[in-house]
Amino acid sequence: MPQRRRRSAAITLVLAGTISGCSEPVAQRDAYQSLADCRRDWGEPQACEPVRDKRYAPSYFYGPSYYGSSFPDGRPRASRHAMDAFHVAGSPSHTSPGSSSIRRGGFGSSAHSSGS
Amino acid sequence: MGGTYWDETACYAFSADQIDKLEAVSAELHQLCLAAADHVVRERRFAEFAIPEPLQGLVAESWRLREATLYGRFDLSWDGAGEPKLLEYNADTPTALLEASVVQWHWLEDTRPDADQFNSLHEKLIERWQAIRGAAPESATLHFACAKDSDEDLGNVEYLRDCALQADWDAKQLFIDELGWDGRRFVDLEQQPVQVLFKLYPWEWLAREPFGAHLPARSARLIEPAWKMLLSNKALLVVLWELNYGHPNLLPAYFDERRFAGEYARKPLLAREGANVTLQRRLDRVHQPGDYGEEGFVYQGLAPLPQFDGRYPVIGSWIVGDAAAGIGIREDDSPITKNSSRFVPHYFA
Repeated sequence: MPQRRRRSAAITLVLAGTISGCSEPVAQRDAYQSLADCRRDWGEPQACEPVRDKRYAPSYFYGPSYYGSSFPDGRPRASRHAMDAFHVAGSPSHTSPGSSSIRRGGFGSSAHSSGS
Repeated sequence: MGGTYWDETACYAFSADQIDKLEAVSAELHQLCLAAADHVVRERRFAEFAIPEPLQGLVAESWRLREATLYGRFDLSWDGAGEPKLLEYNADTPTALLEASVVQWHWLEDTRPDADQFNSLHEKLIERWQAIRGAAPESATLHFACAKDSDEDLGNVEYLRDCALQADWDAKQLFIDELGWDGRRFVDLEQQPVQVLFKLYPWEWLAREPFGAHLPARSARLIEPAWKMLLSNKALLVVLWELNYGHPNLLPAYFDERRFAGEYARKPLLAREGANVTLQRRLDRVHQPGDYGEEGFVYQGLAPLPQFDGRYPVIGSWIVGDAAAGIGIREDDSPITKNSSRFVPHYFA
């Protein structure tokens, strides 16, 4: 009787490039067609600013940088009322779109390497 | 990471019979552990595991519901002959997964394509994520969280997220300190509810931190589930020995060091990567420093790791779901395996 195979038949990774453990999530910014759309996602008007870098028309607005989610191919997923999103370098200026009733940082204070 | 971690200057060669043995022993040990968890819950022996009172109900309910587990890793001492001995079960936050599942698989493909390897981790992980998805709300997103400052942890989490994406989950990553609480439930950075959370972050750390007070509300399903607190705790070793006295794959283990005449290993109930472990031997004592031990210790009979050319290997035997799924071998120059221990591939023919 042939011996049963014990190894995986094939290995495919869809997040190639991010699982080395040496890369961190990249912050993103969302682009809005109007200040009203930006405010709908972020609430506070000071979180939105006009586009000045020619990436979009000057009538458009940027939301703040934040860590969002990505599509499987790595493209950032835009917030609900945004029309586009793109990755930016550096730390985010906000943690999430929306209101301030959410508390964060309640986990993580014991952290060093958690594995065993 | 400093020093060599992936080390292919050597490798371990097994026979098919030896792999059969490891597979059977691992599957049996896992079943013994489940029976031990059932015993601890039924007899309410939570205090021996130093589980805080507010979480005891959560553990019991999690076990009653048999909340889904993804994986765990036994550490075994074995020289290839006789019986493998269980050193401990890393049942809550096991790591060294990517190298066991993917890297050594590629090593085999590149160096010994005609040989086999005890390693079906990748396909079993995808199958397991599919099974867990089948039992989750259809619209649920699977969130992955780990500590921010550990590249190793992030690598493990991203690999598991990769497997989840291949199992058709909508899977998002965030860091554990980015989790939000909106007064009713945990939310992610986009304020979306966190319904199913894979956390590479020990339960005992979650429990003692400010948001730990929200865990008993069970607003999110956590993987690993709360009942895994029983299996990742060294007190399990005592219960296993008590319930299966004389089992060939278990070592004597007690809460009282006086049960041993001379040699034993002292292990903190809650510790990781060899920290605060002491090997008390007839002629000497080996101690690994660390910050653990305040919850107490167990004392376990010694099963010295075999030594090959000054290298001490420990076999990490993986369980995915309830199935034995493969092994990864870590080597150290000391008889205590640590975070810095090298990973050495294996094959069998």
